[in-house]
This record gives sequence, C-alpha cells and structure tokens, in this order.
Amino acid sequence: MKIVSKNRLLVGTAVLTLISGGLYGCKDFLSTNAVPQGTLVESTLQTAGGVEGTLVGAYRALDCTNNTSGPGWGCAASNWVFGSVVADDSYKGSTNTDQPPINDLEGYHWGGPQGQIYINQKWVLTYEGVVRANSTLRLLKKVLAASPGAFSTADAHAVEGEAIFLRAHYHFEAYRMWGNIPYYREDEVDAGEIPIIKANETSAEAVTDILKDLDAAIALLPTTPRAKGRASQWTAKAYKGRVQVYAGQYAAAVTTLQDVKTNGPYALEKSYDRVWTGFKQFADGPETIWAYQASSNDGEPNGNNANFGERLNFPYYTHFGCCGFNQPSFNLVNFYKVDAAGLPLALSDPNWNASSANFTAAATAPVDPRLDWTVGREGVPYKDWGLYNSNMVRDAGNGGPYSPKKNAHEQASGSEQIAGGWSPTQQNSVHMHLYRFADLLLLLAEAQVEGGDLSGAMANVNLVRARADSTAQGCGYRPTDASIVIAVGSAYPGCVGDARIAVPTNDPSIKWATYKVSQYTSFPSQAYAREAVRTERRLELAMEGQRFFDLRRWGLAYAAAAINGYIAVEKTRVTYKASADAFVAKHLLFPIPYLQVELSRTGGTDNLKQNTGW
Amino acid sequence: MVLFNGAINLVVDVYRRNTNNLLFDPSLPATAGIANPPIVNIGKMRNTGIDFSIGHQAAWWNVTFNGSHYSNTIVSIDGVQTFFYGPISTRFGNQIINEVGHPIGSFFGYVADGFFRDAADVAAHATQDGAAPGRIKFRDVNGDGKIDVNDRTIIGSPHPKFTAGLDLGARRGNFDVSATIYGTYGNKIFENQMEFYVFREFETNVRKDLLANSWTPQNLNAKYPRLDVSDLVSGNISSFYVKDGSYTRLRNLQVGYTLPSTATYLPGARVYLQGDNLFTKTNYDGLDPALPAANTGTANAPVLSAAGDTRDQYRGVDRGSYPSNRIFSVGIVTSF
Repeated sequence: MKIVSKNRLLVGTAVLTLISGGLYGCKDFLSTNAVPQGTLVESTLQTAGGVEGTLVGAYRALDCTNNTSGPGWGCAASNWVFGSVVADDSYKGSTNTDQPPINDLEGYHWGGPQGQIYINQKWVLTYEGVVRANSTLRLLKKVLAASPGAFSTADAHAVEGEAIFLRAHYHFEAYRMWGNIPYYREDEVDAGEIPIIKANETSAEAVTDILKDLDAAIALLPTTPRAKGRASQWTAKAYKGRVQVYAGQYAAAVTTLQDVKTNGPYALEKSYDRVWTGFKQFADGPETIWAYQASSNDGEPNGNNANFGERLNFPYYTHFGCCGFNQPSFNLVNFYKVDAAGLPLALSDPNWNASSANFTAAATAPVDPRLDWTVGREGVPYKDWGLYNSNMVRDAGNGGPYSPKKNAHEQASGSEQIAGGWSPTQQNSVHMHLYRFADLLLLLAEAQVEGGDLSGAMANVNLVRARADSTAQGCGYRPTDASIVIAVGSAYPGCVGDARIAVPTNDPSIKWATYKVSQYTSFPSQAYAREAVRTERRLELAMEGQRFFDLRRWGLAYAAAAINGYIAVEKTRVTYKASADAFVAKHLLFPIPYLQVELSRTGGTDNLKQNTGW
Repeated sequence: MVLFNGAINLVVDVYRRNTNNLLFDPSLPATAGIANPPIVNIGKMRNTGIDFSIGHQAAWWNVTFNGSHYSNTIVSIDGVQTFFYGPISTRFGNQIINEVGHPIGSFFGYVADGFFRDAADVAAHATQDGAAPGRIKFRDVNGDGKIDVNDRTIIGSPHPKFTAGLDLGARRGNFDVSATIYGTYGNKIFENQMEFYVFREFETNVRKDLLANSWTPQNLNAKYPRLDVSDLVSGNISSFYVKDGSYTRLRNLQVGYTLPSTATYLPGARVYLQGDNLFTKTNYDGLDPALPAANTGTANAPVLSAAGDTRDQYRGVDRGSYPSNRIFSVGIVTSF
C-alpha cells in the first residue's frame, strides 16, 4: 500500500513537471509578436550618452564599417572606385583577375552581377549613414522630452544640426551616384522604429530636399564646431554651395560660396604636404571643410577605423606590402605637363597625351609640382619612404608603372597602424578629404564662369595655383632601415641628410623634375575660362574620388568625349581596356542596385524605380 | 519485417517531415539600416523520403543493403520574402539561394550554353556584355534579349537523389571479412575551385589540360573557354561550375583472423588488417567528391552565423576542402 501511494505521488509529480515544462517550452520568445529577447531597442539608448554615441556612429559611416567591408571596397570614403577608377584618373591596378567587380565597373558593364556587388555596398553604407543620422534625431527628441536638462540648448541644437547635416551629406552622396533616390527623414519609420519602404524621388526633388536639410542645419549649428572634425555652420554653408553648383544653381552658389570664402574660417594650407598627410598636428587644418576622421592605434583591435576603404591603394613591392590598386593612368600623368609659360599643356596642345612612355625622373619636360604629390613615379622620392621605382607595382602590364600617393602616410608621422588586422602597414590615420577649401574655390570659380564673372574665376584659380607653386616633394631623407626599399641617396647623393618632405618648388635639392606652375594672366573667353577651371579642378583634385562625378555633371557630351577619348588611347597602353563599353547616356547615373529594387517590393510591385537604361 | 521464412530482413520507413519555426535571419532593404533585425522562428521546410534496409543472414555470410531517398523543399520563408541568398559570398559572387518551392542550398547562377562560335554567333545571341568568340554563352532565361542578373536561375542542387550503403560480411573458420560500400547519386557539386585553376584568379597553377583543351577556332568543342586575359564574363557563376558529384566508395574493408585459444602468443586474440577509403568511383574531376560541411561562421565565431548553424544551406560547394585519405591500419583485439 505504501509503495503504491509513493509511486502515485512520484508519477503525479512527474506528470505535472512534464506538463508545466511543456507549457513553458511553448513560450514564443523568438516570435515576431513579442519584442525578441536580446535585441537592442531604442529605449536602451535614450540617454545623453546614447544620443552622442549614435551621432558619432553617424560620422563613422563615412567609411566602410565592419558590416559593409566584405566583400569589397565600394564603400570607401574616398570613392576611389566610383570617382577615380571609373573616370580617367586611374586604373584598377593590381592583377587582372583581382577584385572582379572593379573590372566590371571600370569597363562600364554596371549591370553584371560583379559590378552590382560594389554598387550595392555603396548604397548600403550610404543609407546606413542616413539611418544613423535619423536615429540620432529621434533619440534626441525622446531624451529632451523625457529629461529636458540632459542637453544644454546650445548642445541640443548642435547635435540636431550635426545629425541633419550628416543626413544631407549622405543623401548627396546617393544623389551623385544614383540621382533618383529615396529621401528619408527621422519620422519615416514604422511601429518597430524601422524605416519604411518608400519610392524614390527625382533628382531635382532630391536636391530640393538636400538644400532644405542644409538650411535647417545652418540655422542650428554653431559657428565653431564642438570638436575638430565635427560639422559647424560654416561646414553646412560651404556644403550648400557645393550642392548648388552640382545642381546648376550658379548665381545662388556664387553668393553662398563667396560668403564662406570671405567670412568663413577656411584657408588654403600654405604647403601642399599638409593637405594630404598622416601628421596629427596638420590634420583638420584650415583647408579641411569635411573629412573622414580616420584614426589608427585607437584600440580597435583590427585597426578598422584606419582607412579600411583605402587599404588596397599602396605600392605593392614596398614596406606597405599590398595591394597595388588605384594606379594613376598615363593620361593623368601626361595631364600635369606644362607649356613654356607654366600653364597646363592640355589647354594649348592637342597632343598633350601623345606619350605612352613611363614618365620617370629622367624626363626633362616641365611639370606641375602637384604631379609628385599625386602620383608615385620612378626616380622621385615617395614622401619619406625613399625612392619610388616602377618595379614596385604589382603588374605593370595590367596597371602601368604609377602608384597613388595622396592616401599614403609619411613614415615620420607615426600614423601607421602598429598591429592588428590583416595589413597594419596599409592602415593609417590620413584624414580622407571629402570636401576641402581648394575644392570650394574651384566650385566658386565654376559658378563665376557660368555667371560671366571671368576675372573673379581667374582670381580663384590663381589662388589655387599660387599655393601649388609654394612647395614640392623634397628629399624626405631618413637613415636607411627595413622600410626603405631604395634609398634617396643612391640616386641623389645631395639628398643625404635632407629630411624635408616639402621644399620650395625651385629648391636646388630637386634633381628629379623641373617644376613650373604659373598664374593665368587672362581668361579671354567664357569657353576658355570654363575649360581652364575644369582643368585646374582635375590637377588639384586628381585621385580624390571627385573626377567621375565632375565629368558627369558637365554634361553627356563632355563626359562621353572625355571618357571615350580616354579609352581609345589608353587601350593601347593597358590592353584590358579594349573590352570596355562606350560611355553613353545611361552611364550618367549608376543603376540602383538590383538587389535593393527587389527588396523594395511590397505587394508585388517594386517601390524603387530603376534608372533609365538599366 | 521478416520475409521468406526469415531469410530476408526488410525495414522500410516512409516519411514526410514538416519542420516549422526554422530560424530565419530576414534581409531588409538597405534603407532600413545595416543592423540585423531580430532572427525569427518563421521558416518552414518539408522533407519527404523513404529509407529502406534489406538484409540477409546466411550461414557464414551476411549482406545488408540500405538506401535512402529524400526530397527537400522550402515551403515558406516569412510570408513576404520568397528567397534569400546563402551564407557565404565568394569573390565571384554568391552561388547559393534558398527559394520557396526549391531545395535548401540550391545553386544559383547563369545557365552556361556552350561557347560562342564566331562573331555571327555573338551577334545573333542576346546582348551579353563582354561576349566574344570562345567565351561562355549564357542562356537568356527570361527571354528579354539581354543577359543580366535576371537571367540567373537555379542550376543544381547538392541534395542526392539516392544514397546507398552495402554492408558485406563473411566468416569462415578463423577468418572474417567485412566491407562497407557507400554511394551517393544525383547530387551536384559546385566546383568553386575552378575560380583558381581554370580562371586563374591570382595567377595560380592551372589544370594540366587547360592549355590543350581550351577553345580555339580549330577546337570548337573544347572543355574550357578560350584562354583570354581580358575575359571577364566566363568566370561568372554559372552551370559551368556545376558538376555531378555522384560517387561510390569502398569505405572500409577489414580482414581479421582470430587466433585459436591454443596459440602460443595472444591466444584468442583477433588480429585484423583494415583499409579505409580504398577506392572511389566517380566522374567528379575535383580532388574528392565527399565534401565536408563548410564553415559558414566568421573568424571570431566559427561555424555559427547570426542565424545559428547555417551549414545546411551551404552543402556541396568545393572550396578546396582537404580530400579524404586512404588509410591502412593493423589492429589487435585482445583482453587480459
């Protein structure tokens, strides 16, 4: 009897345990209905620190983040693929089969699955920036509603202004690429705080929205930035002028940019070596309007903040080690040649691009000193890394003999990532200029030319040229160590001991070039002035990811002539270019990534309308 | 069940398994941000199949033959999306798709339709970027006159149509022999390694017959496209990479001898000689048709991705797995 009742108790308890266990196990803690466990919801970030942190995240999205980094470099802050390689500034570089998406993009086959990978990456990161900026605005509103004292009025306005400015910037990046883009504001989210799917608007509407945001930012931002690298009222005003020039609103642009030039805090760096540099003390100098604040040795274990997007763009057989991409073209190097008067040869001589020879230090033709700030070429010191040699490229038959130089740091700057990640030698804290003062002056000149003010335009072009004339690449001597492949002293004994990276353009230590860059004395016609400004723009901003967007906004005829003319000649120099498609009207805009068009489908129709011709 | 007076043992399983609430990692459009939305239990998959085993135990030998067939279909994903791509994207793109109505982990790409014969053939075909004689011709699946991302389709499946095993055993006197043969048929392999040893990514070594058996105007029915450094199209993910992965392998053969209890050394012990993976009969031209599960995680979190263990979405892709070894071993089984 006792045994039976004990058993019954055991059995009863067991059954009860089983039933309750079963009921508990049916809890839907991963279902769509409840807020899933372990997710980060916005309420967690509703503090002042959360707002500031999200805002920093919005700045960070200017360059590839860990999530967008693979597989490819469409997300790079500098737009080197879309702005330089796809234009006439540079070739893909490396070997023929490396990074096949860039082959597609460079050959204008933008519909193929390879090219789409990079185009999609750029879209993803650009809109991630928009999402982060909008998240900041929503969080700020919530925090201020819950605890008004969390931010001072000045800080609250600054945060809001910076976020709106970032939103405008990211939409402008999207506009430059795709034209007809969807515009997202912070209130366009669903109940789960996820941005809704919406249709894209026309490029004209996008411009209006971008300018509206910039005006809002101007009203909110302080005149001095809260910290170096953050947006200020002057950043927003300068950017507004940029958007106006892109949109063809020249008269308004002149007013905006003239105001920034006269009253703003910006100025040209006196010495060119301080524009693109790894030296911390020169970062965010007077020429910087808007830049990606790359940072190395900052505790990120893989150094991913240290210009992840640029890590492929170093000469191959050197201390850097990899990967030989973004190689300047023969066309670009020829473009820096000057005539006897010191003006660009391209303006006066139709045969400026005739030479397919490797333009080494042995060549005596006079050049603009900016050539050796932009391009690594044989026999010329490569910042302070010793001499550059054509053997340093990965595959000269594929990409020519030249290497990029602006994104490279100086050894003495200490900005190289010390350890961590796949290739610390290729990661540095050179701030990637997205918009600098020389760019602003040339945009102003462009607007002045269109408005008929030729002398005003000439004055601005001459300002840029005067600065170009102030310094040139110097010896950059360092005592020999493992990081130097070819010592400067081996070719130029006079360089031994001369550590100067920048010297006056007529300095006696310069034995590798004849530098000459003179002022314009007159712009005789609007056509000449227009071409002179465009030429100056390329000389000054080459390899900075701007060229392709400039060519496109100067019109289909101009862009097609430049690109198709470029390919016709370059395919005799780098044979793979023979397989490029011709530049036609549909190339004025990139295709909206096919994957994103598919993902925008609701109820059977795609909300995103594809660009014409794709 | 037992048939024929105990002579034949037969076991048959017929099943239809519906798996619900599979973990799914939804993809939102990029305008919703990069941050991963919550993983949901929402996927549905169905496996229908039959397993059977038939065996016979005779006096001094026995044989068992087992076989299995299954078919797998994704029934629904989340009710909104009808497809999502596989977990690993290689340099030439993503070759796996999981689409409603098709097996999990199906291969996805262009359909390769031979090579272009000449310039007239190029002109007559739908507009294919970069087409030239000797390059791979892709089929215009949607019939719109141009070859683009919309002409990609399901080009194969890693799921076998039939797997079989044969166990043999015999005992005669003090000797015993056993063997296991395994075979899988109808499964496809996506030979991703062709990226390297046919299309020469990174200028690697290539197949021995690449030079002799590439397309030339004199060799129109070649195995490989024309050797051409500017050929950017032939390497695209297509059925050119999809190979038959069927194989039959003698997994194990063991011959043993039991020492009599009167032996001087090791009485009653069993000594055996064993060979593993002795031979494989297959048409697959890669290193080994028996591929392990791929590592679909990241460097920091091997194997597991955001949606858990996604290795079942990435089967049958040969990315250079180390091949199986043939092993010979000798053993003694005894007791003290």
